[in-house]
Amino acid sequence: MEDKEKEFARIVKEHKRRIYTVCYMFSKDADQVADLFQEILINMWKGFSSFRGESSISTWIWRVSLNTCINTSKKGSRLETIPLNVNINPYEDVDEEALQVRQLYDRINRLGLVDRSLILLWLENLSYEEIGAIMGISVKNVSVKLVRIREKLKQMSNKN
Amino acid sequence: MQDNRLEMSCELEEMRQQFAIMKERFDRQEIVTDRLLRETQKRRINIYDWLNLYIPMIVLAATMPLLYLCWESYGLPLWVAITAAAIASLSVAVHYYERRRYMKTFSFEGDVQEIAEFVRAFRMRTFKMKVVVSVISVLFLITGYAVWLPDVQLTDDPLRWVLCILLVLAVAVILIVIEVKSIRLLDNIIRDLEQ
Repeated sequence: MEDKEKEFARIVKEHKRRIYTVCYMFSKDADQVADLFQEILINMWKGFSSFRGESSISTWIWRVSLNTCINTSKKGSRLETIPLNVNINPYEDVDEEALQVRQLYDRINRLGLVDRSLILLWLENLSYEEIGAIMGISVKNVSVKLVRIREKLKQMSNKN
Repeated sequence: MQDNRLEMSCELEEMRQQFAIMKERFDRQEIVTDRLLRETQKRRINIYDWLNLYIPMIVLAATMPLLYLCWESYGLPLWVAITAAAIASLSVAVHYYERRRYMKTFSFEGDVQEIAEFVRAFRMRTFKMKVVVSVISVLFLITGYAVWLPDVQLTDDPLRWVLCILLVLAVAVILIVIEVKSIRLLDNIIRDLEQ
């Protein structure tokens, strides 16, 4: 394997959980997760040589992942699905942990695409500056949007 | 980096705990396989993007000989064929250029907000470009026909005219379907981003 390919594989393995989380939150079933994961890796690979390190690698990965999910969820994947090496199905498992995860999914999935992206980044403990850099909005705007999301989530809980 | 600027609610507290559980659960998974990495690095462009880039070119390639045959057999004036070729070539060039930019921004260059703005601008620009191309082509057709080829004889066989018109309509329908599909896709994205 060449250096560039090795470096790419290392980065993917280091950030696999983040990418998988984004795919899960933007999908409806395990097959769609696998399709999206693959699409994201392809887009990362396509952009990898032109990545000049102006932003951190994790900011870049978040962007590619969110962009791909927003775009692909509209047109559907046309790839041959390569199965992921996972022994869970976050949409169907019924153990206690899985139910907690699904409750989180249900809450996030009822938000719009931008709100969904924002809350994911916030839950990842990113700073407002980092969230702003990924989303392309000001720190103040991040703050305002997060407050709105908090209110939306509260309303959803009250309705339930 | 820890952030404490957002006042927590019960829902957010609970979501933080659930997110921690999810992280732990997903961290235990291998997820990436060597086969997946190999396939990824082999593939430069997926089939959907490929179709989006090249279908108009295929339509163009198929249309040109047909127009030529129509001119030869059905009396379609040469000038119409040249203009149709010019319109199709311009549309293909615009389509190709826009698609490349669209894919690049969407895939790895833009941030989420940039994408929202880009999609709106892309939709408007694409529409304007097509209007401009169509207007220029019609003017080109009228003036060119009047000025440079005033003596060309049009066929008086109605069947030939019907066939020519059907051909032009077929090409127009294909281009309109592609356009409507693409605009619908953009509208869906804009609606979701604004939700």
